[in-house]
Amino acid sequence: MNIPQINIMAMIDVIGSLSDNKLRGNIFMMDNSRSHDTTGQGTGVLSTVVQFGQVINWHILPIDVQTEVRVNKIIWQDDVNPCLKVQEYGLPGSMPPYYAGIVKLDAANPIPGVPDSEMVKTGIYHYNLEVIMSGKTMTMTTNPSLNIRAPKWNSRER
Amino acid sequence: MDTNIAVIVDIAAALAAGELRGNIYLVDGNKSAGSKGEGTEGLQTAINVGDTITWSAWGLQVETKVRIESFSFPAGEVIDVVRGGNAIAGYTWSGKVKKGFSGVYQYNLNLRVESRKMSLTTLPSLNVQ
Repeated sequence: MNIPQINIMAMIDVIGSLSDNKLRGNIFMMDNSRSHDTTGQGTGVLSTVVQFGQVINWHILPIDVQTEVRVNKIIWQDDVNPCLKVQEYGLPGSMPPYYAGIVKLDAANPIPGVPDSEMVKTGIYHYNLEVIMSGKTMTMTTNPSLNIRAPKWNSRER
Repeated sequence: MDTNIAVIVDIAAALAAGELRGNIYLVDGNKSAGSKGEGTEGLQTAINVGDTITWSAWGLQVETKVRIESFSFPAGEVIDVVRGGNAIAGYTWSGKVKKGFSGVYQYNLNLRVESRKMSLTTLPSLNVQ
């Protein structure tokens, strides 16, 4: 079974963000999961449909293709992080670094030896990106989300 | 105001579907000047005569390259675009909006997605003010 990775791309209007002093309305997110019912493509309220165990990559780019931007932190609503190993990774060349993590495993299908802390239930998990650009830190307030769904082949009736 | 337009392509989906429609997103940095359709394939960029526009193209699969090969402006050559580049974006295209134009001008974007040529049939536009 080969589960494709999910890439989430956040394009930031840096000048708009700095002049409005907020990211709302100045950040546009898309992912490559649209065939799985992702909603909010191209907006700040992207809700990405993901599966247990799937790798999620968060990329960020400046629309002006000049300002240095990076994700400083992913802030999970109510501190509920549905992913493991969320951290920053580097890319070769001049692409900005990116964040990645792995969606935890299905709490409804416990696996011996896997602790509860590495399991998660299906549902919608909101987060916001804390972004650094031009030396300034700003945090999203629009609450994009991961929508964790059980894959069809993972039915408990099997 | 000079602005940038970023074109983001869901490469795997575009190649599977055989078309860009539904698999491409355009954003610019000129929303405060009145651009419409941010984050959609029908982006209408508000721009003034004499302003410079720079286009860049990105894949949602960042390891795969998308390039803009050419533009066409069926309703009038409102801008002469030339190829350039920078460290982050690789290839870019930019040009200056010409004098004597006013109103909405749709344009065609011809992309190379991996080795395949694909054109955007849902036309984005420039709204010259």
